[in-house]
Amino acid sequence: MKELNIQYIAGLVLRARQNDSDAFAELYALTYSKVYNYARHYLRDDFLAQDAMQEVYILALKNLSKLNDPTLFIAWLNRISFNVCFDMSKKLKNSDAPTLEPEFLDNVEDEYPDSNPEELYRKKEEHRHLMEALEQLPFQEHQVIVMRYFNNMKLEDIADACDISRSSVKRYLAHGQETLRKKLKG
Amino acid sequence: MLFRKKKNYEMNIDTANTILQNVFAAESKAPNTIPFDKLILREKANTRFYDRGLILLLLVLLLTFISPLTIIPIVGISSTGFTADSAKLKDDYVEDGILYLQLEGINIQYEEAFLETTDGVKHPPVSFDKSKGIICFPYIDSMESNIYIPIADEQSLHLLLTPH
Repeated sequence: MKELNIQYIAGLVLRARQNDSDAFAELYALTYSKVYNYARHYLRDDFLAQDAMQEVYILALKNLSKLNDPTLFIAWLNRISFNVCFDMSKKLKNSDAPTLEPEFLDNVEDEYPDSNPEELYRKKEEHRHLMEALEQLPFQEHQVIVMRYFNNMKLEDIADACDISRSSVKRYLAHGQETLRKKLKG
Repeated sequence: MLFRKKKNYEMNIDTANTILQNVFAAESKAPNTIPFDKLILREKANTRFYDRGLILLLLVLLLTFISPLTIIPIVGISSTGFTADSAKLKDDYVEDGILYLQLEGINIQYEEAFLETTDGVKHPPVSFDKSKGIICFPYIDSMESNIYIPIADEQSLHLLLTPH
């Protein structure tokens, strides 16, 4: 992947902020391949990736004025891409769960012995702590951990999506896990 | 796996353009006036310099790596850059395990000349004939040798013997 000229991009961002559609279109032309590749790897579906990409650029256009440092546009866009894909993936997982009628639930025996309210509450708390700790990780580590463990992606796919080497993915994973372990213990 | 081809997903330009127009419509912004395909071409033109630079860099790297192979080993005698002006090597040959050097010049100190192998052992000349300008050394074909032939009031004539 070619490294993009940061200063040139910053200039386009400044123009796009002043409602210059051509500048935004050029930003899009420079970056859409990377965003699409990322979303396609993450969501594993062409149409979902296209939807995600559209969402990413709508958010980018809407919030462009909130970007303090225009030279950080690419990093900012990467974060938006990650958040959009993460949310879409989460929604998809939730929508996959079967929706049952309350009357039907009354007649079904509880197949999980630990699904009592206390246990559920404890698990929810654990999950909340984990998510808080994840949020505190550097972006790259946060991203690869979510992709690996929440999205079950292979190391190769993560490397291809993020345009980094496989060894970098392993490094981010190892460091992120170590930091999480320390945070959750303490 | 040392080298693995990256799996890159690509979107066609028409779909990308449709999405861009959807983005502008969603935010009630005016669409781009420069056609999208021209923007893509401009981006390709901007990165052409980068591509050429990359190819050039790879070529330089390749040349650097193969440069040791391009130096042909010098077989025989070669004189170094620190040679005396008043004496030079005219001819050299090996016969019956003896290296014959024919020199040309004045003030050559034949009796003080010596051959030094790379392990530091010094060998005096086997014989020399001042009138013919010939000096003989034992021919050592197992390693490189330096031959130093002093010239009066000047730097020594320094010869490097690389065995065949």
